[in-house]
Amino acid sequence: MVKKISIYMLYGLVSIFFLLPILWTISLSLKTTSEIFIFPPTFIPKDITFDNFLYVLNNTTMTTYLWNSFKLVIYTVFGTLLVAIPAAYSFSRFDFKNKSKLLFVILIFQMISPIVIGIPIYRYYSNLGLLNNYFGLSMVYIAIQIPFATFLLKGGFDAIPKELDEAAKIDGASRFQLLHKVILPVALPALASATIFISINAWSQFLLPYLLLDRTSQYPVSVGILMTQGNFQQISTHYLAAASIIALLPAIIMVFLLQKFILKALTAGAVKG
Amino acid sequence: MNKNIMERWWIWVIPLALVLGVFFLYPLLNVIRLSFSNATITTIKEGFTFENYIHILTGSDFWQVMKVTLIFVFASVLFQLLLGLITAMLINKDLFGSSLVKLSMITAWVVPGIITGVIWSIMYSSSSWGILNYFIRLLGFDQIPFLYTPSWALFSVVLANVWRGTGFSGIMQYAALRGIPDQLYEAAAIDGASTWQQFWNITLPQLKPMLMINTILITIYTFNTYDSIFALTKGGPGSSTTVLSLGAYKQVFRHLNLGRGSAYAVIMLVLSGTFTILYAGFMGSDQ
Repeated sequence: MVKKISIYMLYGLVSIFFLLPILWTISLSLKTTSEIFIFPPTFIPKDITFDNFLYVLNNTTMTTYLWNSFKLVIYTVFGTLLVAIPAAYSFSRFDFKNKSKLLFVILIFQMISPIVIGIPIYRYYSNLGLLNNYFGLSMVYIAIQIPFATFLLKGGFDAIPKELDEAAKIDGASRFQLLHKVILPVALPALASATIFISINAWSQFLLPYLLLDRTSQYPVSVGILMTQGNFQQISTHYLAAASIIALLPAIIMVFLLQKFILKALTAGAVKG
Repeated sequence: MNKNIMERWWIWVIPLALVLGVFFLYPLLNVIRLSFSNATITTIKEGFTFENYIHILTGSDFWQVMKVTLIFVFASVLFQLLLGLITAMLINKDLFGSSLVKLSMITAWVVPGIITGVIWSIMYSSSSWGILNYFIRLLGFDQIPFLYTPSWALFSVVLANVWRGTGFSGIMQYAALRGIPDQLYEAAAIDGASTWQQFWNITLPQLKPMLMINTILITIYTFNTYDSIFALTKGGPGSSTTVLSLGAYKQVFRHLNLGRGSAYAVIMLVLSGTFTILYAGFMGSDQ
């Protein structure tokens, strides 16, 4: 019994460690200007107000940033899946020499920091006139997401019994039909995991848009919020808190809805490399 | 004819090869070339030189950056592993409430790096909204200038990074813990092994492969961390929190020295390449 209670206390402690920063930011975002100055601070706001959120949405370019992030996520998810699905299919269903070596080479890409490629890309994009261009930016997003997405999908495809392919093959299905009609419908969980990961990563990207875009109207949330941090005049913490919560919300909603997929994908991705 | 060609494995990999080639491999080769050049952000033609590497390796700036990177990575990895292990063992007890812990871990992990920085800069503040300093004063200590002295700033960026990364480490180790057969513990319990002996003789050895994989992965992720530090301190005060990736950024976009920044990037590449080879060696020996 004592042991159980102490474990519960530790559960509480660990949860507080992980959640306190977020809960505190939520608390600040719901406070009035005068309440954020009260000392000692109140944990639950006395008069809960949504004014900060309204202010941020109405008086800053936050909605534009959100919309931009959203667009970039969509482009990246589609682009990445379009490239990673056939590659994962090949790695899962064909046998060829040096397959594992090739997979390893793709894995190496995953380990490289975006700053390393960001520097030369900045240079040749500025020569090609591709700075401030979503196509250019999305292609780099896609390139950095492909390795992990391919691994994740290959793992998912591998789990589908080959007998399914064989049966369809006998019915005269082409390779493309096999992938489209047999594999993909069954691989929905893997596709979902890949989509979640790509989305979360694309939403979080900071360095690349920071380097490759310099128009405020094109910034995604990650870059926008940093600009917002500097732009608010005078007292701004409650606005900043509200902006942070807005920027976090899509990721947090995803976690709550899709916890199972994320857990699965996390561990599968790690074990497979 | 058309059907035949679809029977080749490589035809399916062409899109991947093209995208990675143009947007990853080519820039990569380019950055290596640039690192041996005297290019600035505005030059068009450049000459070949070792000057960047010589300047970097003989100057004190770089070694300061390396020192910061080393401390940042080492401390982050150590605490992410330890805290990850503790939380993994806790949620492995699978009591009511363990899913709340899991949820809170993943939540912290999906917070974008920049937002992590913004949120923690609020936490660290010495104003009324700086909750950490409130607790510290409550305990009777003086306020801590979290972001304003070199050693505290380094501590603060590590803490924020540990907060964000521990969820990943913990979930991975939790998955490995669940894979340990119960019989091992049952047999040990029959032999009268204490909890501590069970941990030392069963849990740790069984967990070793995952701990190794985890260590290398976290090392690589931490090594590439940029966003949260940028939002918290921008590498300051001075250069006390300037890690390699920030160093590369500063060389290129603040000092406009493309060659030198590229040399920083190549050094990063070599280091993360080394970690990757370690990782591969380990994964290989594991199979």
